Amino acid sequence: MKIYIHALPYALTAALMAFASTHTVHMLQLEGYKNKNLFRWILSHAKKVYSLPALAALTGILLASLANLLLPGAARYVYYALAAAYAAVILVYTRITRIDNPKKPIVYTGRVKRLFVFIVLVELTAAAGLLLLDLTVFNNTVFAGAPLFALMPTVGLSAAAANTAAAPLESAVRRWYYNDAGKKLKRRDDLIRVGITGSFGKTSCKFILGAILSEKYNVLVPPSSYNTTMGVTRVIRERLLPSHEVLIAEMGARHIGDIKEICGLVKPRYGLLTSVGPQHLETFGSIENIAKTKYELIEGLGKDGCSFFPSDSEICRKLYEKTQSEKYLFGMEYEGAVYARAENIKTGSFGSRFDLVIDGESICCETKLLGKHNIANITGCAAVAKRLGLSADEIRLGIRKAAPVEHRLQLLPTKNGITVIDDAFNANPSGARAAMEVLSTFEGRKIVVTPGLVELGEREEEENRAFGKVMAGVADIVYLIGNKRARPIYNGLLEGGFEKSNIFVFSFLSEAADMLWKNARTGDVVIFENDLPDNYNE
Amino acid sequence: MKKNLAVTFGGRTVEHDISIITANQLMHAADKDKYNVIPIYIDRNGIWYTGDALFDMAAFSDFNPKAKGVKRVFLSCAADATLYEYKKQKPVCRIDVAIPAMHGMHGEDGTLQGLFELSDIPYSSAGVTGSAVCMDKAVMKSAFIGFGFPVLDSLFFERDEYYKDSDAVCKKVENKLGFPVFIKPANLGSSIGINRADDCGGLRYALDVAASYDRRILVEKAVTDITEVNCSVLGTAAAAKTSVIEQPLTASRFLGFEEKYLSGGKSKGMKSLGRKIPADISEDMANRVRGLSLDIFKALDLKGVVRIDFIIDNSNGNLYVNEVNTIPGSFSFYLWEPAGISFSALVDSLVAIAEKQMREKQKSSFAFDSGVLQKAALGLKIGK
Repeated sequence: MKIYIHALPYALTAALMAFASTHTVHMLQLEGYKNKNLFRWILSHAKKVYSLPALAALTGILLASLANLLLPGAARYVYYALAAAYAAVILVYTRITRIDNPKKPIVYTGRVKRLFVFIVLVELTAAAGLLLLDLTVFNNTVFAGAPLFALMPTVGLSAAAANTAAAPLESAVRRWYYNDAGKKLKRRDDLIRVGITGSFGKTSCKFILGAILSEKYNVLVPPSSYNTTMGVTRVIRERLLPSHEVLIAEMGARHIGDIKEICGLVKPRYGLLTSVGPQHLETFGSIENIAKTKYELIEGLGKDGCSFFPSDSEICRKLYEKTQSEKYLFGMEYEGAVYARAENIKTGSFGSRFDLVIDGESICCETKLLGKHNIANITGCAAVAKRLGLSADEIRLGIRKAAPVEHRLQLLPTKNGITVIDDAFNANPSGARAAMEVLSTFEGRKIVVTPGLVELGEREEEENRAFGKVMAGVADIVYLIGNKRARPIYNGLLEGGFEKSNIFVFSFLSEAADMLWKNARTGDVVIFENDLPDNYNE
Repeated sequence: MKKNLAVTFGGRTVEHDISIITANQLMHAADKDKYNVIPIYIDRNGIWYTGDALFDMAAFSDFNPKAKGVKRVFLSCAADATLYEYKKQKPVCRIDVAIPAMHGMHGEDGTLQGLFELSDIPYSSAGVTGSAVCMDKAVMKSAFIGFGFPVLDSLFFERDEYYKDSDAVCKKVENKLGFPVFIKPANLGSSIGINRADDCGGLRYALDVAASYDRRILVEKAVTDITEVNCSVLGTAAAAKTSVIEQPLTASRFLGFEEKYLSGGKSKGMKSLGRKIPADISEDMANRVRGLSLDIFKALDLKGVVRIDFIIDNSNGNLYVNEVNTIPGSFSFYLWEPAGISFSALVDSLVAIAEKQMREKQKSSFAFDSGVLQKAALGLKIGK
């Protein structure tokens, strides 16, 4: 058999295999192009991904060998027929693995297209290897032609290999985008650039600051998750317009040097530090390392930089102390001198009201946002706004227009005189404690509806008991969801001295809600704490 | 020859979905022997699409712009009445008449009408001025007052004015209007964002809600012993007629958005709502309503089919005009059926009205040959 005739089925099958990889490429895209996550996904879906390829491979090898053995004269025709059938199976496989109406369909970005090119290369390499095997080792044996059928089980693996092979190219592409964004910014000397970082509160601050500054300026506020180097790069390249006067860059960090890299691009002059806490402690190693990483923002501001620190955190005050350039403190509890301070905080169905004493002037503010941490965030943003020349009126109006993040201590409008706080997206112990603190500032009968904290592993029971104890000191009535799950909270409540007759346990949220609306009365404050999916009915 | 009848719907408005229902009803009513109906769907980002797939309501529950039978199109600003395909920039077809089946902002407010004027497309709704005036409840009210039509007392505020000193705004309402009052975002159609307040607490709530929808807020005195009636008017400012008068049946004190559009099944639109036709009012009152309707239609330079909402204070028999919907839900077809005008015939009327107005426009002169440019050019030469 001439080699090109023999090579043809190999090349065609390799090309088809690239087509059959669409499904895994889709998953790879959803998993953020991380091979580790792809393998995890493949392992949990191994049956669906590999049953047909394995079956087709074995059948193909078996039939090809049998043909060699039993019909040596016609083996070559049987082989072509098998190769054609194999191609059909691959197409069928492509069709059955396709997800109809996916929640997030595959997007054919430049990266995906490049990935497909690499997959074709990887498949062709694999095919070439098998062909070589076929022509040397198996030549003139019963297995002649059989290696072709080993191609189908490469599905998934070829995508991962291509992903690895493409990595250097992808990083070069990213560098090009980064530099391109830098060039675009270079032409914008007039742009006011503000960097925000911190262990928590930076996304909230980004939106609050955006709301306040937009009373005076055209502000570019990147969407929620755009806080990495690539995210900020994209925002600058795709969204920055000549009319924008202010760029707010949220800077997230998982590793030392992350923020420095974003600063290298944005070159901010104003820096707002929201907090330093044990977020991502495992990757940073120590709280000092976290502080150091956050401080990269302040170092990135340069000599004429202007930085803002929360006064209520000792670590942050230390960072303030060591800063040489223009610097300001903001907060509410620290007794030393600060640039901006929130005082006389009151909460109610209207949200929060407080006096903002800023640069010696007192502004009476109202906001829909709840919680001390939010007031602290607002105070920090107001300090930046003041420094950027906003008037007291503009700052007050901006604060009034800042919207809460959905399901995060979100005050819901009701007409029936009952205050409802939606904190359904809160899932960690400190957040739950903060929510209880917010609740305690309200007047009226306080009702908590919760299934407790979930997905905390070994600590879950202990944390829930502690949560119950704290709740006991704040709530008047507690609605627990899930008979078995709620037991630790129940015990915690009793330990905290809570009246047993004021605890109600339900299997479903809907039952709790029915009971709630039947018994709630004007003046009550209800908080929905933590996500409440229907399946927590144990 | 069949006329190309474009029906635009959707749009960048809170009433996007309602508009789809209104358009769907109209497209099915249109006589296919007379018209090539061209559905033009405007998505929430303002992108225009056409294609046969858009006749089907199912296309919109999760709209896929890449679906078969959907293509992206646009109107150029040139006065050529032509729809273009977006990618190839090639003409798709000429538009002989357009019926905007749009509610609220960016469709009923004069903006789309402005585009039709630029493109020289005859269209069935009120012109730029009439549409814009009826979109802003505060300006509409001022216009009513200017023409001497009876309206309920009201105040209007800027959002920032309220945010700067909420207490002062509340006090002003309490002193000048008293309670109860209705609080409405000025530029929103339907009943979205509208609330009634009986005390200061309710007022704060209602103002907060309205402020989240619009920069301008109208506060209006509420009538407690109330009969609401609506009358539809069809025609042009020069020649119009009134429909039978309806009485929307609302147990509550006013029509909430849910109640107005979502009660009784999702796809049936306005007709499924509880109402009494004809309204249970005296013949004398009915005549007053009809007379006032025609006066308003002419005064505000309206055209097409509109619905004018009135309030009757039962305690003293006073009649007040509340507002004008220049593109009412379901085109108020159910108010014309009793007079023997089917929805299909209503579409014919709308087409005729649009074409008549275009003829009037063409009778007015645009080009005034002043010769000023030639003179100027001459002047320059002499100057040299």
